[in-house]
Amino acid sequence: MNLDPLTLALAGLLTAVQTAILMYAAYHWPAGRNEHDDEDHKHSKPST
Amino acid sequence: MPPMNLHWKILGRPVKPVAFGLMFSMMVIGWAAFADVGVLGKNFLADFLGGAALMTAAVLASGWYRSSQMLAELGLLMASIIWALRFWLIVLVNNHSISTEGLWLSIGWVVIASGSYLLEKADSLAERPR
Repeated sequence: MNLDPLTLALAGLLTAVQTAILMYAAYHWPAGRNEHDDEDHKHSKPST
Repeated sequence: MPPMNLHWKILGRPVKPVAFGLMFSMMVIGWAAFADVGVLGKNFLADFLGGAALMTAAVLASGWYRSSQMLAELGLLMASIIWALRFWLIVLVNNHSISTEGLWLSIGWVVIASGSYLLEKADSLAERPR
């Protein structure tokens, strides 16, 4: 295992960037209802 | 559509399959780190990651037990960070080898934890008065 400080710093940096993107997405592109949910539901049939 | 829960309950609280699964995965990372059987081997770094994973499991457990939205979101975010850090450490430390299954499994767990965090966060943002 190659555990030099540069590698650790790089792993931390990449994780921080990934987390920042995730948190940005959480606040700026929040999950919501699919626009077609109602339409899909109207045409849905029993799965049996 | 409001958030849905399973009908099954433990200690009067609904079973949360994703939170339970992530909690279990955090405990496995913690155990593997302290028993020195994990992919990162026997070193301080693995123990640090293991300690953080066990803390995350505790946050997820208390979030479920106290029905705390804030702790649930924090636990999912921490789990996402732990799995992402594990992924990058394997990529960088393991001589850039892509033949370790731990690397590929980490990607799947990052997707599960990150996606669950986004969904939980969306619930709490939607309930906020405008």
